[in-house]
Amino acid sequence: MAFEELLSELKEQEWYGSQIVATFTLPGKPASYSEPKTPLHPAVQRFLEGRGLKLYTHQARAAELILSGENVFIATPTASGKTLAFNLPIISKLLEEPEATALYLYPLKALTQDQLVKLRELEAAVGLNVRPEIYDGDTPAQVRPKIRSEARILLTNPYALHQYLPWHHKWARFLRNLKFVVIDEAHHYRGVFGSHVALLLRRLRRILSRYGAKPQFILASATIANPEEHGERLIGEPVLVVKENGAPRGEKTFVFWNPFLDLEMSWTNQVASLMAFLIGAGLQTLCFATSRRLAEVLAAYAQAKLPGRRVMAYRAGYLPEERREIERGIREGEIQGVVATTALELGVDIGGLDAVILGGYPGSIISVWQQAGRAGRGPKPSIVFVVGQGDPLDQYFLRHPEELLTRPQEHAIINPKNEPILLRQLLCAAAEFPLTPGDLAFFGAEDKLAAALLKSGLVAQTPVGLVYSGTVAPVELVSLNNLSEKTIRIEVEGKILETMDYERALREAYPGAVLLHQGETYLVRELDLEGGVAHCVREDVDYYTEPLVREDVRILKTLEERRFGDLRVGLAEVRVVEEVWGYRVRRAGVTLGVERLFLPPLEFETEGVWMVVPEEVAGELGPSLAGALHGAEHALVAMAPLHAMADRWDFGGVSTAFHPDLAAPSIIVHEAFPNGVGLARKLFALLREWAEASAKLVETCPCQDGCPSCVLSPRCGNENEPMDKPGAALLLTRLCDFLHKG
Amino acid sequence: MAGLEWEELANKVREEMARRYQEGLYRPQGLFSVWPPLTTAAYDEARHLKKILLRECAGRSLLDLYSGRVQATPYGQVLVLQERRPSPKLPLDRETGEAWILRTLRLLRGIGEITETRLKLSGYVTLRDLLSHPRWAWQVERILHAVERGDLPTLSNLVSRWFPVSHPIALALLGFVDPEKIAFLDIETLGLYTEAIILIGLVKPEKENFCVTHLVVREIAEELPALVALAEELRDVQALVTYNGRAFDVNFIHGRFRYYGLQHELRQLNFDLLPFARRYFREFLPDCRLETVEKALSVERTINIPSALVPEFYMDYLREKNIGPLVAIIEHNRQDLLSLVLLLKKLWEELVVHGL
Repeated sequence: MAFEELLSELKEQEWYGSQIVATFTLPGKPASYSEPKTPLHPAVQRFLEGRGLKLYTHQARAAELILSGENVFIATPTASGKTLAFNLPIISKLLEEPEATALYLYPLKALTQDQLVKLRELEAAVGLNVRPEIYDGDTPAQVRPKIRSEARILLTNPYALHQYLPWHHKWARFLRNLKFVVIDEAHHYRGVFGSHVALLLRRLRRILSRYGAKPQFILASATIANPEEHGERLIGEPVLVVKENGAPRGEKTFVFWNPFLDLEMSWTNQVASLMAFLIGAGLQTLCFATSRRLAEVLAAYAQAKLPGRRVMAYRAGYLPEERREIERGIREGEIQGVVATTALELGVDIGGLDAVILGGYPGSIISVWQQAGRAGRGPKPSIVFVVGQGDPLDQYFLRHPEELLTRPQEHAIINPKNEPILLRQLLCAAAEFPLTPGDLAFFGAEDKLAAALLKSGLVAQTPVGLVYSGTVAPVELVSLNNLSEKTIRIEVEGKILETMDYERALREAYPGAVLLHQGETYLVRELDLEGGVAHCVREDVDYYTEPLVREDVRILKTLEERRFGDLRVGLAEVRVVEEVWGYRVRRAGVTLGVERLFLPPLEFETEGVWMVVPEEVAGELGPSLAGALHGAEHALVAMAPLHAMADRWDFGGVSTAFHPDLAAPSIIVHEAFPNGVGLARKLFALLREWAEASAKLVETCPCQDGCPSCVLSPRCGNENEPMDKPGAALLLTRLCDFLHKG
Repeated sequence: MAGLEWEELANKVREEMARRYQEGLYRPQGLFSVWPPLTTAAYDEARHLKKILLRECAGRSLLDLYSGRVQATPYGQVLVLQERRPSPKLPLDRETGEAWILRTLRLLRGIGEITETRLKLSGYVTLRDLLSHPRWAWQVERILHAVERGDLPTLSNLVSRWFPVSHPIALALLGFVDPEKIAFLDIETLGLYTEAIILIGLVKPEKENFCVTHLVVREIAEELPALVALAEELRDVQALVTYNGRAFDVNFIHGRFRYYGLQHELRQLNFDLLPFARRYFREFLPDCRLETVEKALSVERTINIPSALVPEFYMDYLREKNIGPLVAIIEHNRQDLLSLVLLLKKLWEELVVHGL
């Protein structure tokens, strides 16, 4: 093992308290190279020779499939050269066909910047003039017509494409000649967003067919469990998958670190110390944090331990220039340590680092490998520390570390048949061209949907098809992630510090909140939701604030109900109302006070699973019923992601001794985003496994009265009150009994 | 999913749309300053009018109120309302148009303001005088040839190359068009982007009269027939007169043809009066919305609704199956068209004739 010396040195540190619970070393692998069977354009070959570049097997395979006209899905790990794998054959084709164009879609604006730089380099190197350009909301109006008429490669994002599709005639040249649609970071398109994008791509394909274009689709993503299925659902056509990675891999050491084995040193302090140690040992280190706040705090702590070195925080919300500067600093080695949120997980180009710290389970196995993949430069060995948090899933993986490394990656779940999404996207399509019966079939819309649209007056029947007949452009009504498009500017003395979406601003930028930005604290004085701005002042404070959220879930309609003896379980449409009603002022984990807030609630409709506790069980629990329900709800929410193959942020829950819509003691676990994408349905189908895992979590946890690893939730809006761990264990066991009896 | 559930979902979207539409009414319309933000008073007044019209028009059809006919097209029927009203002749005349061209030496490549002044001082007052000038003669010949033939496209290209769209000489070109080949055009739509056209209004000057034509989209399925009928109506027309038509009406019509998969374009020269009105009224009017300009021309509206309410009135007409709100839209459009005629007269006199 390459890091034996480093680890033994670590164990000699005076602050080390035996937190290392397991160490695994994944062997390295030399590169395997091959040549594409269909040759690349001579200019591209000369470029490769000139740079001394050889293609890895997966790159060669992807290139030959692309050159032979197939839809291709490249699903290989981070930093395996996916970009080159599709850029080479695309540039090759553009060299051969001087009119041909290509459209590149990225889920985040920041990523288009990186890709633009790469394409411009490649373009210059092969002596081609394809004018790659970014075209999105930030593109200045005066350069737009020129880009539309000249660019042969356009880089944009789905939000922008959604807005531009109705203006397709302005893109006539580009669309007529479109040969390639590249969908990078395709694993990002899952859930509501992914379902919208799938239908957006069908809108694009329908418009393209009017222009006589039928492009190839090229998808690239991190390793996911179901690239074939995901690719086909996303683009609506079969794809060929390339997943055997030919890139060299250095030996990678995984060290599992349980910070709760040393209760004298705070979690934050341990991670920061670890980071400082690694940087001190000459390893450029990247630490991932699970929240923006945590990223800020860790960066500040680590920096304090390392005078003379540069440790930066990096997260979404920073202004683009600031991010570019940090990325450059990392690439050029000027910055030795960086603490990032998942913003860095996607293909931002910072090259490889020597060491990576996973500051908590990132929520999915896909993310684990994305983050761990940031460690290592080619064949050089690298080290990854997995530092668990208190959450149940983190603790689960610390107890079963081998599982983290062997569990398959999640499925990317999208549902282009999701009714509310389909209906809205169909309206957008109807405003682009009349919808013929053939179009309806193409979008997968049943006749009843068309009939309902007609009846509502949103479309009108005409001899040429269904014609949109509303009074507002439907693209204005339809948001791709079903969240408000509103963003809030965080301003200090009139200058923009960062931006946040509306939902996040309600939770983080309420009046009185303490905000962190590159280690500095700012106090929010006023949150003007109408004007879209939070006014802050720079102020040094030694406390932090946490929002208190009240959640109310009402059942709108039960879609399906199952009975297991006296236990009733239902799949339902629910309305969720979240209200940030106040915030806690805390210092070092101690609550100093609670302040009341009056902010508008956030409301949305989605799907959930409800369970009504049988009367006899309620009787058995007696006065501990409320605490037992609460604990069981937290355990069920904690285990839901494992079973629905989703992220931990995808679920919410409520429990009550009397729910008005069920008239009984009940627990509801619901999807955390509007409209539901099938996660609740998945849980409903896997009821027994889900309940059993939750029961086991609570039973096997060694704590006495409940801890963050079992029934306590860090996100609880009720401060984990009331809470009864034994009651929760009993309740879950009883539920399992009923489920077994069938 | 059951039909009823789909209907619930569709209704939810419709409600969201209604909400967005209402919000939009009170906001200034960024894209086209022609649509002002609505005031509560104007809204109340319009609603009152709607109530009256709904009462008055109950059980009646448009052909009870207007003369017209149902016209068949290959894509279905459309209702064509037509009214002839006697009207004084348009003052447009070719002599004035020619005079503008002839005295504008700057139409020649190579002649700017300074050269023009110098040439005029040297006795070259019109283009004709330059026929004897060794340097400019060949360019002049081409222009004079175009003037003789009344070659509007060539003249228009020439003018737009050297002059801003609001320059009187651009309007003076209208003198080259036979008034019977001019059409005033104004459309009503359900929105500003990708929504349907619901009414197309045209005024065509005839020998003694003005012929006011309305192509009425009685249901959305008649939009395409209306577009086709419009193409037919404009077949012999050489010039359109519009208000903001360059940015809006003509573009919008092209967009709708494209939407239906037809590659039709209105090739007529478009005399958009908005830039000319801006040039002339700028000094004494706060803005140049047609309604403001009308007041300066002492036009009184009898039945009127704010433009922003046209979609709402049309939806009410469809829902109530009562032509009342549609009548308000037709009258609104008719008034716009008649104001456009008056405005052209005014601008011709003030900018073109006085400008000479």
